[in-house]
Amino acid sequence: MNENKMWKKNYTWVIVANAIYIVFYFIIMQIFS
Amino acid sequence: MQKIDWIVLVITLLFIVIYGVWKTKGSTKNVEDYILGNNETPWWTIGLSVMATQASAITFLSTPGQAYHDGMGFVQFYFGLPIAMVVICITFIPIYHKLKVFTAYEYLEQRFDLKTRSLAAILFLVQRGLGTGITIYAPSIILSSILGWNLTHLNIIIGTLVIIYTFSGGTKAVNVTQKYQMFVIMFGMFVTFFLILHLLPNDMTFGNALHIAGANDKMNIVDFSFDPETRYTFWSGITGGFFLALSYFGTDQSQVGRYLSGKSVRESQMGLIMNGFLKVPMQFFILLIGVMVFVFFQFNPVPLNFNPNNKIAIEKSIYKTEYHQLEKQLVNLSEEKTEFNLLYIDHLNQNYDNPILRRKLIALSNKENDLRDQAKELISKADDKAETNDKDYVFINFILNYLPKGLIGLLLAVILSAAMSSTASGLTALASTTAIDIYKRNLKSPKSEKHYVNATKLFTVFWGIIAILFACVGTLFENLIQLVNIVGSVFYGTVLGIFLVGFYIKYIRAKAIFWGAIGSQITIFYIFYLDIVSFLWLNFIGAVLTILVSLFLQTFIFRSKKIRI
Repeated sequence: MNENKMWKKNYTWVIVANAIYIVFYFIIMQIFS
Repeated sequence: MQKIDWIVLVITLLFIVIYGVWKTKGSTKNVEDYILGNNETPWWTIGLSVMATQASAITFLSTPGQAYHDGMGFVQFYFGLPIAMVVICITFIPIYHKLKVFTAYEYLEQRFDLKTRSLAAILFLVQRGLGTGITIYAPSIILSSILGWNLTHLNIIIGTLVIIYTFSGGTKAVNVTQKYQMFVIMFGMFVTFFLILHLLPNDMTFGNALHIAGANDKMNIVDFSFDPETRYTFWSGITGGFFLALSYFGTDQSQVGRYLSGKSVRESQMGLIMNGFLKVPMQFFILLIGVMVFVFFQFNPVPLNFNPNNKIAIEKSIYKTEYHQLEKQLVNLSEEKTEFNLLYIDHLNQNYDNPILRRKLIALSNKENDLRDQAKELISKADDKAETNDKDYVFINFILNYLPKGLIGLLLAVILSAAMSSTASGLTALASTTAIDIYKRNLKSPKSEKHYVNATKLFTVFWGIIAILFACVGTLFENLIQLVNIVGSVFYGTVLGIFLVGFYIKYIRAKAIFWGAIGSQITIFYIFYLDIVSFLWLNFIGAVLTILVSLFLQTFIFRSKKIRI
């Protein structure tokens, strides 16, 4: 895999990880409030 | 504070200072060593350093208190940050590295001209010069009022400790010390979190604690509404938070200086990516500690207002009796709440989330808020200058009254480490901007490397003394912290606008951006004077205005025959 593609993947992962955090927080909120 | 707390506090802080000086001894032979840490910093040190710079003492004093009063919604303010990290990694970092700049503002001369560079550098020096004073003043005023320490002495001690290692080792010293400061901070916060859980009633699980927080309206984490009255929503976090993070991490030298010290473009980018991964959960965790402190106080005596100075003001006033009555009402209310909370846990343990009890708990919470509001009114009547918002005092009150011996010292070390790490980044950024963008740039004849290193070191001491002096006279100004936040928002937008034009709109040239920035800044002052929007939005408006005004000027006023593509 060329280096630029790998870096694009890193950036995508940051956004995906944060989207997962938000979904996780949303679920916690639904369960506990 | 016990002897063991003093020992933990003093050893932790002295270790950081001595380690910073020792580790960087003799490693600052030229300006590149001193300002860029000889470009040797690995990505994880950059990541920790970036996080330590942003996490000031107020983050650890104020954020748990914010969660205590308003719940977890503040975390949304950081939702735009990861997107800003990606934009900076793709655009800002490669350009800074390619041009081998020492400061972000150096880029502006290469892209535009000297006056644009000087304008951005001066705006930064004004704003960060005030801001660095506040990073010392804000925790000092809280700790001195709670612990009875002398405010001036505390300011001088924090400032001097930072000056010692920043002067000695420059950026490298800041980076290596921030690693340990972050370790102390996270260790202290984790220990506190587990200790709070341990201090909760015996039959209460972590899940039950979250249920109690939810029943008291503290688990309102994500808000998708478009209500402009609500300050923290998903949308304001994604937009306002994005622009603020872009300005702060992309154009503020105290952050740019951290990742410019990276071994390579990739190491700098990885450092920011690490921040993008960890910042939101870290902020969530600090808020969760505040929520757990709230749950803890559902079963323990709670003050009507956490700021002890307000209590002193009331005791000296004619409103003393009225306040005592409110306190009695709060005691009764707290007892009632404890009973209902215990009953609610009982039902939860039998797998029944009782809706009637939840409604009752919310009603009691509202009553408690009413009592607190009435108390604030009385405090304002007793002393019209008093800060009735006590969120900065909630966590420190808990630390001093409920944490065991030794841990109090560690938590105070956490708070002071956070103050020192932000101050150190501020000082190196102020010194390098003054040395490179103002002093070196305006010298008629070039000087030796040693001369510039010494000049930067001198500027570090100069700005350190200014920060200490500013922190010492802080009490003379009302709402100083608010003022500095406003000053930040007023200038940040324009500076971001200049950089965005530089990176993305090649069509706009030097004259248009300079006058566009001046025009935008004047408009921002006027909007601020009219007080029509929250100051948090001035950043976004400033950036957009700078772009639009400079675009207009370039198209209609300063039209050039040659258009660079």
